[in-house]
Amino acid sequence: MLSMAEAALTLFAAVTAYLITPLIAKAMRAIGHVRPDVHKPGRPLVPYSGGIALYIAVAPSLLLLALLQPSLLPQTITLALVTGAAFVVGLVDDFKVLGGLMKTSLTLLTVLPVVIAHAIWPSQIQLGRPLVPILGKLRLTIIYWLLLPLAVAGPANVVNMLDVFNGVMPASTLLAALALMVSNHIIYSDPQAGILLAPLVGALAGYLPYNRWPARILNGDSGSLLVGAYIGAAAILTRTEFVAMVALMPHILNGALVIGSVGGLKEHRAMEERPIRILPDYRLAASRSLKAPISLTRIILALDGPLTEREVVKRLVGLGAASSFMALMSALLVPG
Amino acid sequence: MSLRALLLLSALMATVWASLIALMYLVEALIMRWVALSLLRSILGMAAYAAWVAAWYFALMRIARRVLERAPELSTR
Repeated sequence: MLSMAEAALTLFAAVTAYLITPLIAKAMRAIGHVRPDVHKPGRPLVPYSGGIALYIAVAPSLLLLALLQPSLLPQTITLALVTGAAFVVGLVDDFKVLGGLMKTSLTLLTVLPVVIAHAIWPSQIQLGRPLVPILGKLRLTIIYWLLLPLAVAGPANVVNMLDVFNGVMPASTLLAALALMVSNHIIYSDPQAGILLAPLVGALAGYLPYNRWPARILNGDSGSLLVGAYIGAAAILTRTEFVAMVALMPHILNGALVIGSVGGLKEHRAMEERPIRILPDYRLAASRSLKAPISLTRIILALDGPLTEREVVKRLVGLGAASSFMALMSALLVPG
Repeated sequence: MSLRALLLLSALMATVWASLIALMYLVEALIMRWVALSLLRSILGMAAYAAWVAAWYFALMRIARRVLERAPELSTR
């Protein structure tokens, strides 16, 4: 059951995102910070860096969370620092393109606030004790610390890699964040269990109407890195890493396919061939080239034939719904 | 609307999910319970997870290439 504080925070973030996004879009257009929406006839120029609106919605919501729940101050500060760092990396990339390796390396550093917070507040920020189905609390010592750098950078980058069509990023991550929020309620008996996710759920819900097809603002890396890092950090702080990993499975699948097929981390602008083709009627089809990267979208198009952008988006969001359902099942299987 | 991609990819994700839960259970039931030496437990546990990741990675790449080869519109044969 959603507590009053959770509902209030979600609503606050949603209203803020809904009101601020058109203003950010207007400002970005005014300074000429626009990008062509390549899957539409005439390739219309659309304001870029919608992540700024998401950040403006998330940051004050986290401040409000700190005021409403002072006992969660360590978690709130950690979340704010991780999210802020990922947002800055994304924003720099939006304005001055970073290479794929440089961007990934910088996102690896965004886990540092979690490590520092663990050192300062070890009883409140617990690491290496993830909750998993059937077995409950795992005690991971070496492997957890080896994988920790990827716990924030991983979600941030895979969310970024699937941010390829109007509405996919906010819709799929809204489902994942909602699944994580509900999972926290399932796993913990505390009525405020999902409150750390409330700012993100609200911000994405308020922002989605502007990014859904036909988009009036594009997310930019500032948006996708911020959202992915938030989910990763929230999962660490609530020890629901397994649930988050399952909720983001389409993103992880896509990341593995792309990285595996191009042989490493490459910025999409640096790829010589595209995984999809745009037909004269603006439907999308899988690339015929053997050298083109393999992506989730390319597989979808190979299986279902040429599709419109909206049809592809529906399938990608459908996969997000399926993985979010499995995330909820995972939470139900965690012993109490 | 053809739901082939949605159904096949959802089934694939469900298989990955179920196999991970099964692996975690096996690691806990076999390695963590029966291996006494802590260092050996860590090595065997990490090796099991690494093998799972590698197996799925190669399986995914093979499935993806097979799907692309068999797509009627895309067939290069």
